[in-house]
Amino acid sequence: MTRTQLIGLLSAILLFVAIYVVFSFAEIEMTMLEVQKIFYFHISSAFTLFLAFGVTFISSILYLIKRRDKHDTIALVSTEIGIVFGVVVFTTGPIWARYAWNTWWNWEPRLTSALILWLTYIGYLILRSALAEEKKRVYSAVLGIIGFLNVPIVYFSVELWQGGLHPDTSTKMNLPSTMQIAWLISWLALTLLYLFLLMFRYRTEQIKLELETIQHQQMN
Amino acid sequence: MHKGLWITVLIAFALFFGLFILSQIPVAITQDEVSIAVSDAIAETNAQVDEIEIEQLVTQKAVGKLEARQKKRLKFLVSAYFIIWLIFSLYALHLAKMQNQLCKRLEQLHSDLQQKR
Repeated sequence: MTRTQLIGLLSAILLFVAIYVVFSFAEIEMTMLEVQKIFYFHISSAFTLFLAFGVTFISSILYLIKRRDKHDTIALVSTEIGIVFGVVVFTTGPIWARYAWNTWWNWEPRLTSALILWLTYIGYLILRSALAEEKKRVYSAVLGIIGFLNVPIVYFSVELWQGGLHPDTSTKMNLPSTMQIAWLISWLALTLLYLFLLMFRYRTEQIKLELETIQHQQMN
Repeated sequence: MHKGLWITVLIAFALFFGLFILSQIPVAITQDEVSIAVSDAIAETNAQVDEIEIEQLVTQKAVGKLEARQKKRLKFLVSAYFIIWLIFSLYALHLAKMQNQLCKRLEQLHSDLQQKR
């Protein structure tokens, strides 16, 4: 069994454990009742999205310093996976919002800044597909760094702009212990899933590169 | 690996719904919900009957309303978890398919090169 497969297996097991803990162990919140259980995977996906864009940020810096293809590839695959986690955040969020706030969407600080963050990284992928080989690596690395500056803004948006609908950052720490355990397990499971997808996707990019190199050699 | 991934996705689907069904979510009735449902039911009941009949009607109405509300909440919950499962599964399958195709092309290229030599 390879390291990627092992991490994949671990993340699958932990995801099942997380679902079991969320539905059987974590107590039911009295305002939102069952709908509150969306929280565990919604918030964990958002945190994993931050992690993914954080990896893009670090890899982009490393690429600009060392100019190694490896760092550029890691930045690219991490961005792609981060966007997938963003899709989870932006689909589970409105389901929660529809029940809690009676609306699918609201232009409040947290939602708006998170959407800007997500769109910035979609722009990263568009930029890569639009530019020539060397240019795209440098320009996308710059965008990967600039885009990450929005992460702390998203995280602290509730404190920065008052009057939003999201609770502040301290709410998670005030949860009952069963809810905190369920949330932490969900977060760990999704982090492992991110790691698995990163390694798997990185391998795909390596094969692609190998293929392109052989094709290039054949043409020459 | 790719066959394994398909199997993992299918098992994940089965286990997810198995756990979902097995995890009994109790009907959490808050005092506010009961009061609202009871007052609604009394307001809608115009019949001049004895107390037992009123109590039966009120209880029936209240339970019905609570069940309907829980059904609505479960719809939201199931939709959210189903979407999460769907997004990750589709992305994993897309990656597996892409890697599979690339591996095949690479093998093809290697064998072409060997034949040329």
